[in-house]
Amino acid sequence: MPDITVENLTVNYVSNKKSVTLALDNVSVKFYSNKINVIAGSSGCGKTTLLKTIAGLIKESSGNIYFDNVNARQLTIQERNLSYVSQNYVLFPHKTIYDNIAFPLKIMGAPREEVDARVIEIAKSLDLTACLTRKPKHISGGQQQRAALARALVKRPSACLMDEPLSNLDPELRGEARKLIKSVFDKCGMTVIYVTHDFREALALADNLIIMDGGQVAVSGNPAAVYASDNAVVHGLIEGSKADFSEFAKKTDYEEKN
Amino acid sequence: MKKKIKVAESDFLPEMLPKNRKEVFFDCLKMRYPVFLWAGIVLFLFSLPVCLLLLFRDFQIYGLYASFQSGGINENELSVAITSYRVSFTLAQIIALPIFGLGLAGVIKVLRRLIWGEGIFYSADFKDGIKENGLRYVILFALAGVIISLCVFIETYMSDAGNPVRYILFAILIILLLPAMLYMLSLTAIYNIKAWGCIKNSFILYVKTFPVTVLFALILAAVYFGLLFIPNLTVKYILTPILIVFALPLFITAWLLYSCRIFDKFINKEHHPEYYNKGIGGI
Repeated sequence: MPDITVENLTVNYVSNKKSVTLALDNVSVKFYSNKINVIAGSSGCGKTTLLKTIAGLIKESSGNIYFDNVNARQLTIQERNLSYVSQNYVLFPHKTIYDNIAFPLKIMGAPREEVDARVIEIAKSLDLTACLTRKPKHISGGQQQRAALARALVKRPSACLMDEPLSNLDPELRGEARKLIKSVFDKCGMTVIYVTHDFREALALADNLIIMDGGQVAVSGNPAAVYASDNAVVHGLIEGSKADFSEFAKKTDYEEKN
Repeated sequence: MKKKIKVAESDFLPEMLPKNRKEVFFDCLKMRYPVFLWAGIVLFLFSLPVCLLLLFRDFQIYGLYASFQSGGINENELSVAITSYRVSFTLAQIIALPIFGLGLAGVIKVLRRLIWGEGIFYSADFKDGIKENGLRYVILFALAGVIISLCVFIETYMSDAGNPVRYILFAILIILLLPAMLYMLSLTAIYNIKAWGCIKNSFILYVKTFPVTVLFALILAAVYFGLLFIPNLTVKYILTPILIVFALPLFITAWLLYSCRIFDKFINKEHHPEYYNKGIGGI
């Protein structure tokens, strides 16, 4: 699984009237393999643009992205072997959950036996076997989210990019889904880049936390260090989230003392 | 504006899956109807040789009647010509029906995966079905063509009223052979079984499940012969594709599910536990 390195990345959006919006401003950051790298920040700070540029969905204006030592410009979107989970899950409504999960493998032309085995394996691990013959509208939001995750993981990508995948879930389901995501990625061992505006979610999931503001990286590092930093953006996020961070603060104190 | 995602209020649980073969049928109908539609279209394509033969026969006979009414031919010539067309059509069916059998061999593999709740790979499954069942289905349908020909010969040459041989032969063909052949189709579709074992088991299972199996066979025979003898050509040519595309896949699935129920009872529990209750309660 590759480390993904972003170097001096700038992305400009040009509108119809030729006005230019700077979405990413000279961003340099490293996403580590076998770790959950979380990008957090308020709306419009450039999180999703960064994710989509890594995925190859948005063209960079300048700068480079490296998958290990290979420049992304030398790779097609397929060769990057990434999977992408968006906040709307984007499951095909007319296909069964089986067909939704199997879709990337069928596109790759994998043999039927392999598709069958891999779909059933991932469905079992995400507790989706009962839903395989159903269509998305017949299953709950939590199950749809797991189906989207299953579809992203079934092709065994080198990195998984997740754009606020839990934002459509009820608050009570989110905690459970977070635990599931954490345990799945701990087992898979792949490069994960996870975007969220929820600072509590970011702290709960991250092995490596990147805070963005105004198209730039404000601070990055391990979550405890980011939480303890004096950065104004971090303080803004803590205050803005209105969540109780006392548990995390205790954990951070403990980690710092040891 | 974001499109709202439709979601169920609660999780879909294993308890909500079908609990018996009958429920599986209605569940498939509700959840995976496009598979039936696909199967119907493929079956229709493979039934085109039979349909075209039927069309050709009907137009020829229609022409003969027109010629008879205009005084071009007499009643005796009309009768001889009609008999000749009917017999020729029937004999040509012996070649056209195996083509349909070949299509059915592929389709039945797809329907088998459907009722077992498995993922469907249309073209790969269809090809596999032809590879696995094709030869046997072709032979079975050629045999069915021979049986239908015999029926037509009996109808044509023993049509004097009160001839008991005629009814006995009809009974043997429709009530004895056709239902056993239905079992041969489903046994071949599910098990890797030798020809003799397939024939023997088909008759044994038929005897054990006599009334229901006969009912299936009679429905099939009634629809087939009913279509052949519908006098109104417009009705016939509207009804035939509709029945093949929409009703035939449902009939085949219902038969396959019924067979699976019988196989569970008499074969699977002891000899093939991997197939026992397969498709009930998900994968």
